[in-house]
Amino acid sequence: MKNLDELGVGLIYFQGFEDFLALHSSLIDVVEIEPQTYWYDKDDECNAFKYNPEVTDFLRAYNRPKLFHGVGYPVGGTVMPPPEHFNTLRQQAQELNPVWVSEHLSFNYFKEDGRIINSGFLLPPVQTEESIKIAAANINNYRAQMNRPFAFETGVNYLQPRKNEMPDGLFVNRIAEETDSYILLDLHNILVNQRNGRQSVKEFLEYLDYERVIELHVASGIYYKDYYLDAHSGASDDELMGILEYVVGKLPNLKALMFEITPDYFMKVSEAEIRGQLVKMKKIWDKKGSHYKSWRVPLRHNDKAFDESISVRQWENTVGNLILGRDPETALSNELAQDNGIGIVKDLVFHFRASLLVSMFRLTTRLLRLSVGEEVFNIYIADFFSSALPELLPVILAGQFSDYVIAQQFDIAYLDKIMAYELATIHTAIDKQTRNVIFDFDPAPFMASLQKARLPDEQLAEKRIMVQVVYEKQPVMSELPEFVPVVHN
Amino acid sequence: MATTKFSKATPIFVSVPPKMSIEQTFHVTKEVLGLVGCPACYSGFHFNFIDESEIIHARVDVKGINVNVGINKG
Repeated sequence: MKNLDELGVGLIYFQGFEDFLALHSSLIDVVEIEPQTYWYDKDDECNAFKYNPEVTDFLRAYNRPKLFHGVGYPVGGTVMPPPEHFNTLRQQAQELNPVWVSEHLSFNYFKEDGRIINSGFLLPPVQTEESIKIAAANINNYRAQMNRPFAFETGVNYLQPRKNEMPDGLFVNRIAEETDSYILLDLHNILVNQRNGRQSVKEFLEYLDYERVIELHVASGIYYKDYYLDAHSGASDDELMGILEYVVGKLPNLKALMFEITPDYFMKVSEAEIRGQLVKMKKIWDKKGSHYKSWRVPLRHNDKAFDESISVRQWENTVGNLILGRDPETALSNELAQDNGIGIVKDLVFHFRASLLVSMFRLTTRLLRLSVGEEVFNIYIADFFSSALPELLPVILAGQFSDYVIAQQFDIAYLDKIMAYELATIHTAIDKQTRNVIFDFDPAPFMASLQKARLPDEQLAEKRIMVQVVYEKQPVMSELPEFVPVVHN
Repeated sequence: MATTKFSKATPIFVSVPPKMSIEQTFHVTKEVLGLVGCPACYSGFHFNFIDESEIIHARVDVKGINVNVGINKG
């Protein structure tokens, strides 16, 4: 394994974090980027994806080392990424020069009848010898494609442990050994797993080769239907910070400690909370490796046989179908149907998709919901999702929804124009091209009513109005005040 | 030119050209333009769908009615 530079403490960057990064640069040693979150459309000419160049501009100007954390094609499944995935990733890596790249030990695609289906969620692989071999092949391919150091991340698993299943920690360490790979240990993920009934954090760590861990993730969660979710919802709780302090002391090769918070929660929680989290992480960072024991040997269970009865393909197909609300009616699907975790993941996938939809089409969906009523609206949303599988790119979902609404031939006044307008804003956001939307009524009072979640009180007069949707660039960091704050610990 | 900033989470603005009067200016929801990239690494809950329902219900409750427009299911 290559000797990597020590980077320090940082956070996962999303659009909107620029001010915080600029104003609190003394707390940020390293920035981690999820490259695919800036991919918004396919670029067929280049066999790649198009991505937001302004993000690259900002990050290039931000004088801190970068890491890439992939979210598109995890390394725990049988479906290999298409060429455009690595083409785009390599292009971005050339521009931002990440010290290493990482991906999740999960799967999100599965095959059925020759088709490749996106589950819309990072799902846990079956923990078997076959699965280890598949993950190892994916990791080796990833490293070869990117020609950079690579780490895989320990994932969340909302399912209960299966009978005689290979333990979580052992599965992770076996893959790391098989590939001589680095590990991105997400401490919040393994705490989530513990709180939901899987292996305890303590037991997980007993199996881990501490020397392979180069990066840690910390975050926070919320409870939903008695499950603890990896929600990235704010500062980490005391239990996780205690685990962090314990683990950091054991790791001789730790190079980066990263905080994860979603853009939604970043807007909701106070700046002081985020600052406080980073200050605590920096204090703990200083203790890294202080309790490292070079003679320690991870737990292995060489003499124990675990359940190997489920093939990886069978697992992916069954779990993938179940969380999309379809039942393959096999012994495995019967077994998993008893697991409440399947229902939780189904809920999460539905709410991911439905929330994206109402966010992209806020006015259209409000008009629909107000017109047909809540119950019928929900039936249509469920019907749409049953007819359209999850997609990597939100713009594809937008197009599918627009087609679906048109096909339903709703007799709802102004629906087509409002939807055309919102679709135009989505496309303008993506390609920056000016678009005109022609209304046969004045859209301003109508949209104002919908913004207030109500239909207009009066009938709108006929009036031909053209609205132009224009892209404008947001002020960048250079326009922000230049000063370095003093941080009191 | 009248310009609207949608969100600090997005570098995108949509503006209405100056020839239009201020009465014809309207805002687009900020989330639309912040969501054009692939979803992030995150296994938690999204609340926007539920929030939307609550916003609508709050309005309906205030007015005491729900508004129904004809719907062609054919």
